[in-house]
Amino acid sequence: MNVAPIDWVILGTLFLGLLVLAIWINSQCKSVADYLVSGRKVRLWLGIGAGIAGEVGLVSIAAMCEQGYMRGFGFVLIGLIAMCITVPVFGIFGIGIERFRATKAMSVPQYVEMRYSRRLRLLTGMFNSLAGVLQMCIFPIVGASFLRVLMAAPEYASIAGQEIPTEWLIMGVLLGCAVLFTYFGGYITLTVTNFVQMIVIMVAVYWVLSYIVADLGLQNLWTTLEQERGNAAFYPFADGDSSYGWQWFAWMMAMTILLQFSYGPYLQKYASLDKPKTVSRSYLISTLFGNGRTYVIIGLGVCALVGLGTSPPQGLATSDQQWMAMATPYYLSQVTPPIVLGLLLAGLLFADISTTDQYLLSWSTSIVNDCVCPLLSRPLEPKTHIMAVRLTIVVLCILFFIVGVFYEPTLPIWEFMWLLANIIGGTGIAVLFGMYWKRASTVGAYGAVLVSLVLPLLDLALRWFYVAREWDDYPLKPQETGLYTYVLATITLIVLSLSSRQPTGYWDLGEEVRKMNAREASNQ
Amino acid sequence: MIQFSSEIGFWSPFIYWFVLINAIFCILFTVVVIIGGVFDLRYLFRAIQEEAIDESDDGRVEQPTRET
Repeated sequence: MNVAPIDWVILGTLFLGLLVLAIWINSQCKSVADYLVSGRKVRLWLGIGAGIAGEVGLVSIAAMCEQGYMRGFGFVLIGLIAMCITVPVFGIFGIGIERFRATKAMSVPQYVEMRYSRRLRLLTGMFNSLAGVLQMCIFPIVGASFLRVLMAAPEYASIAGQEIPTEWLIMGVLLGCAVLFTYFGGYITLTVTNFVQMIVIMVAVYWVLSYIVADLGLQNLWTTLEQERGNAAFYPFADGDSSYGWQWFAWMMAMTILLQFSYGPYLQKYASLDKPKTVSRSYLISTLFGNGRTYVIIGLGVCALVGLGTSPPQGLATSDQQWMAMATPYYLSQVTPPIVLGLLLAGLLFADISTTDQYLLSWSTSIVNDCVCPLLSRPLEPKTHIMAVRLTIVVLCILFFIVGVFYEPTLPIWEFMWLLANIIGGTGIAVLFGMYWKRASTVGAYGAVLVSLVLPLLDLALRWFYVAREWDDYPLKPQETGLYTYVLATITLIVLSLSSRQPTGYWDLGEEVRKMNAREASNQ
Repeated sequence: MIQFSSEIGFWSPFIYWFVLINAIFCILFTVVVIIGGVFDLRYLFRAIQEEAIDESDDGRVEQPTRET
C-alpha cells in the first residue's frame, strides 16, 4: 500500500470535520419537507455548489477517467454541442424544469399522479426506482475498485485467517459512510455537506492534475495524445471504433433532455430550490461555467494514457475491459506524492459520499413516497415517514453490497449507466408531454413508460446471455438500443393519446410558474 | 507555445484552447460559488428556523385525478 501516515491524517481529519458538521445540521431538521427537499429554501449559489458535488461522484470520476483513457478529449466537442442545445432549452427558457418546480411535487411520480393517475404513479415509481437502484448497484464496487488500485492495496486482505477481497472491505466502508451521512438529517444535511465536499473535491482534482501535467510536460502530453489516439482524441465523429459517432451523440442528447424531468436525483434538487426561476438560472450558470471540471477529470485519464501507453504493464494480469477502468487509478498510484494523495483520497471519498447519499436519498424517497405511501389507507406520521426512508436506505446499501460482490463488467461504466437511465427517460417523455400537451392521456403515458422499460432491460439481459454463452459480439450498440427505444416510446404515447377520447388531467403550469416567481420575488 | 500536429489540423488546437479556458473559468466560478454559497447557507438556516411546519407536505396528493 502506498498511502503514507500523513495521508491517513489528512483523510481522517477532513472526514471527522464533516461528520461533526452533519451531526449539528441534523438538529436543524424539523419536518418531512426539510428532510426530503431542504424545506424548499435552497437559493442559487448553495444549490449550484451542492449540485456540483452531487454530480461529481466517485463512479462518474472513474467513468470519465476511463473515457479520457479510451478516447482522449473526444467528449469535449460533444459537451460543447450539447451545451449549445441545452443552455437555451433549460437555462434560458427553463422548459419543463421550471414547470416541474411549480407543481411543488417532491418526486416525478408525484407529478405523474397529479397529471395522470395513482396507478401510473405506482408503476413509474417502481420502474424508476428499480432502474435507479440497478444503476446504483455498481457505484460502490466501481468506486472500491478505483480506490483499491489508487492505494495500491493488495487484492486480498487477511481477516481472522480468512482471505477477503480488499474491494469488498472498501465497498463496506463506502456504504457505511453513505448510511451515516444520510441518517443524519437527509437532504438538508446533504445540501450543506455537499457544498463543503465540493470545495475539497475541486481543490484535490485541480491540484493533482497540475502536479501531473507539470511532471509530464504539456508539449509531451499533447503530442503523445495526438500520436496514440489520432483525430478521434479531439473530433468525436471521426471514423473508427475509438470515436463516439453521431448516433451516440443523438442518444446522449435525447437522454440528457428527458432525464431533466424524469431522473429522481435531478428533480429532487430542483424541488429543493426556492422558486422556478432559480431552477433555470442554476442550470444556466452551472452549465456555462462548470464544464471545466469534467474536462479536468477527463484530463486525468489522458495523463494515464500518456504516462502508461495503451497496453497494461507486463506482469499485470487483467482483461482489456478491466484495464480501461483501472488504468487511471494505477497511474495515479505511481505518480501522486504524499499529502497530495491524502487530499485526493479525501476528495474521492467525499465525491462518493455526496453522490451516493444524494442518489440513495432520492431513490429511497421514491420507494417510500411513490411505491408504499399511495397504498396506505392513511398518511404516515412524520417521524415514521422519515424512519421508513432511513430503513430503505439501509436495505438498499445491503443490496448494493451483495450485488457488488457478484458484479462482472460487460460494458464500459458510462454505457451501463446510460442504458439503465434509458428506462427512467421513458417517464420523461410522459412528463414532458403531460406538461405541454393537453391531449396526452394516461393510456399513452402507460405505453411510453412500458416501451422504455422493456427494451433496455431486454437488451441488458441479452448482453449478459451473450457473454455467459461466449457467443460473438452482441449485434446492437447501447446507443442504438437507447435511441430506438425513445423514438418508439414517443410514437406510442402520441398514437395512443390521439386514439383516446377520455378527458385528461392537464392544467396550465405556465401560469403557476409566473405566480410563484412573482410571489418569491416580492418576499425577498 | 505548444506545437500541434499538422496531420490532425483544426481540432487539436481548438480542443486544447477550449479545455484550457474552461478549466481556468471553472476555478474562478468555484470561488464565486463558494462566496455566494456561504451567504445562502445563512439564509437557509434562518428560513428553516422561521418556517411553520406543514405536516401534510410529505409527498401525498390529496385529490387524486381520475383514471382515464
